[in-house]
Amino acid sequence: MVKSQADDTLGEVIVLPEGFEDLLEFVPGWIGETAQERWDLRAAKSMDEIRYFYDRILARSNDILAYLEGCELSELKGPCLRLFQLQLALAQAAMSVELHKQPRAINSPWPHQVQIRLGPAPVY
Amino acid sequence: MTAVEHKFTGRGSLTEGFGLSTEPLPLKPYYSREFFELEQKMIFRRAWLYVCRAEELPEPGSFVVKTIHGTGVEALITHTKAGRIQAYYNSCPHRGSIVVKESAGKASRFSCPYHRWTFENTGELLGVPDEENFFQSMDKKNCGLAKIATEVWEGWVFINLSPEPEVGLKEYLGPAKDYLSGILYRGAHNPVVYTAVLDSNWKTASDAFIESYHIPHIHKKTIGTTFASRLNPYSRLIGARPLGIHRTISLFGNPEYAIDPDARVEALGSMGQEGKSVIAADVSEDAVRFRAHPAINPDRSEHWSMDINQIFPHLHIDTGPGSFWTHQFWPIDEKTCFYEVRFYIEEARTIQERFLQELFICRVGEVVLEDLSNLQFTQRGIENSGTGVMHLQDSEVAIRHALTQVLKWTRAQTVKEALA
Ligand code: FES
Ligand SMILES: [Fe+2]
Repeated sequence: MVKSQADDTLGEVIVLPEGFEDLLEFVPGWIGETAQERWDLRAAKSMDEIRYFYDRILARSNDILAYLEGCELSELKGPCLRLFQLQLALAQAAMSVELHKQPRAINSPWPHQVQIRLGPAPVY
Repeated sequence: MTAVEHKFTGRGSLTEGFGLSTEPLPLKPYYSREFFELEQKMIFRRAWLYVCRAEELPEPGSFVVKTIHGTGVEALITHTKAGRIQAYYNSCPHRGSIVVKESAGKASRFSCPYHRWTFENTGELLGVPDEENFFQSMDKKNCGLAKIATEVWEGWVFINLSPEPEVGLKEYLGPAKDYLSGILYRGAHNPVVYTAVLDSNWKTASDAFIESYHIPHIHKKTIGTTFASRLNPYSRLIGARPLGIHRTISLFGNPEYAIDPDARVEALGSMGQEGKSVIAADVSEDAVRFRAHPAINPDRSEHWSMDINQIFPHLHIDTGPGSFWTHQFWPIDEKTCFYEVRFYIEEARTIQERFLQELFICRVGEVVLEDLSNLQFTQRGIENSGTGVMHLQDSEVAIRHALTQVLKWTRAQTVKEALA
């Protein structure tokens, strides 16, 4: 059952799909259910944490996207959804690492008023 | 020096082209309580106000409820069986309760939560429990939901809060209607929505999105190098024109922009399109048709990045290489406003596309945050200005034109006069 989307088999909880055990340390710390949650998570972390996550996920990005390629976008759940949510969080981490070179936008307050009311569909 | 280079090094003449003076302009409209009240009465109670895209009401029975900030009005907008989109006051003619509590949904009739008066989505009163105990003087025909004047133009739904609008929407839009006519609004059914309540006057906020002079400083790390270059270090506009009381400007784009090789996640988004973002470089048939419209990159400049079409008073319709997005700035009081930006994107079909969209919305979120974070400082300074005026440069012509219209509307006795 390599591509199982079931949350648990025989009572054992599968957190991430087989082969991605090395990323378990980012669950649940980097798992956000919406784009807004992922924004909040990243904004609250230190640059060291963000860079560490960025390096590790970027190194597995091709594997993650290749693994999920066969999945129906609108039907992701369980371990596959969590794996994708880590990949989506990479987009947030890239803002800090590649653009700002600091956790949050320069001169921006935290917390702030700007909220993503509706993220891209499907909302993950 | 080529003609284009000259344009970016010599002072432009956009402001003269608008027929506007080059004098300093007053700051008082940006903080005065009195002026805010005048705007409410003379602009927001008389002008056609954009509320939503028709795609938010996709089929008969669809409805949305929109807060018209600053006016105290809540509009219930319905799509009737006859195909009409119509706004009503979301207030029960019995004793005034809110009729619809949800912000959107599907229903052909509504039932007031207080005493269960029931209404058709055309506003008509259908049923009154214990009707016999009311009086002869109550005529059910006059007890439907009160209408708000509503008109739709190419999917843009506008309302007008005056009981009898002096002019229709088409006349109100004037030259902007002809200029923008026929744009293929890609992804119009699929917006990504950001909102914020801002500590600034609505015009302070709107002004921040109609000039590019700030881009090299405020957006230095995010989009500084896409909107400016050695050729045009201060990101001067490449074009601007008035459209009656509305206006359009076109922004510079750096054709040499290349993704920093260290930006490896951003590079994932470029998919071999020479370093341009995947959304910008869309080569689908629809994207090509979208870009072919004469209002998109109107000067067919190789230095173009995007256009901002500002519809008076509070809507911006922005168009980029493959998509459009809107900003709305609703006054709440003289120093607070409600901001909403909607980025319209085609729905992702694959995992890869969905990831690239996440990257896109992260990035625009950072850019918007940079703009909005700066506003409180602008507003604080405006409120304690020693001179009471601002000096606008040529690339800030849209601000000059917008404020000129605001001043005109607050003085004009009739809408016809304000439109002239
Ligand atoms: S207030 Fe609506 S039924 Fe009474
Ligand atoms: Fe900006």
